[in-house]
Amino acid sequence: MTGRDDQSGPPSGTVPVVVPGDVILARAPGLAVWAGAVTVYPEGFAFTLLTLFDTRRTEPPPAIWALDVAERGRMTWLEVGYADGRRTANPDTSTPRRQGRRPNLIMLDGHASYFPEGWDVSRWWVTPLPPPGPVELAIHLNGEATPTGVGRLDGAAIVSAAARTETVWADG
Amino acid sequence: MPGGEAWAEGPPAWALPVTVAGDLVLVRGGGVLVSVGAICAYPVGFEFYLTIGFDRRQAAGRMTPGPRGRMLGFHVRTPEERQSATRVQVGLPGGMTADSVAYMSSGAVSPGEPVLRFSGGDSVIKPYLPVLRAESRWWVSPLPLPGRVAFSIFLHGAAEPDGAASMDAAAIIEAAGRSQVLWAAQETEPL
Repeated sequence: MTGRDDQSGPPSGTVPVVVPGDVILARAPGLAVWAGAVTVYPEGFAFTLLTLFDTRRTEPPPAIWALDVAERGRMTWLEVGYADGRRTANPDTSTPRRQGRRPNLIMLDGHASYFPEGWDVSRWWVTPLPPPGPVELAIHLNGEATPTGVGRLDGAAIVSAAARTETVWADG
Repeated sequence: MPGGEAWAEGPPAWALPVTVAGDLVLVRGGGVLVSVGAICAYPVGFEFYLTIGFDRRQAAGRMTPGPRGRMLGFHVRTPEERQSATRVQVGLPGGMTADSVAYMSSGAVSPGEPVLRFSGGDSVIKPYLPVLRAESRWWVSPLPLPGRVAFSIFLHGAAEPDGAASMDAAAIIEAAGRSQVLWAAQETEPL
């Protein structure tokens, strides 16, 4: 581990390891939510979330991402659950101290969407590493209290990949 | 499908990609680390993740001069940027090379020609950031023919590549064959 704040994103001096094994969180007529490009570091892992929708259908596009906990009732948000019961969600406005043992989930810079063409792409960082077992990704589109869909990444594969990463330098 | 005529200006919004592990290191040394990680294959091309990191303790000499100094940038729009831009090339089997400068200069691509286009993520590293790191995504179309796909990086306006690495195109071609088409393509839908 490094002395830096791992909650700011992946480190600069590590050769990460990619874990194939994409998952589909939600699939409905004219809609798909996909997670993949899982990239593992010693401190955690990053993944991409891609939402595609067919603009020729009449349904309104999925709501944009909630920026505050209060917006979870009408906007889109994401939950992550580890096999040992720890769960977290974004947005999370609690301080690191109040987060306790919960994993930390942040959306990295570079989120983009273009609804006229039917896509939204975001990159996420989760720290610390999960235990072996499924890593549950639950998407709540349009503020739905019950997840619109759930996908499960392979926690054991993520842990195994972390052991193969190489740290060239540590961020100070 | 390999090396096919199927071409797109950007990642299609009508298919789900399939991830392949690139895990290539292009540069490792002198306080610089450049790698190609995930590669996401589609029926009409692939997107790769390029990560560039600088060790802050060795980074002083890498900042561009001027009030808008930066550690790294891909854009090639101004005379300053032309001297300092970081450039990416992808060599495709069959002898074609796609170059980032074409798109980063004009934002335009030539339909049907091999394209290497910035498709998202970080396009710059500002020196005041706590971690000197940029992860960007790059779109390549069409799919490669069987052979080697070579990735090269030219940091800070360098005339020669600072590093390169290659992989077998077979993994990309095979993954593209597993990409799931969701619905018929629309007229224009690049990411």
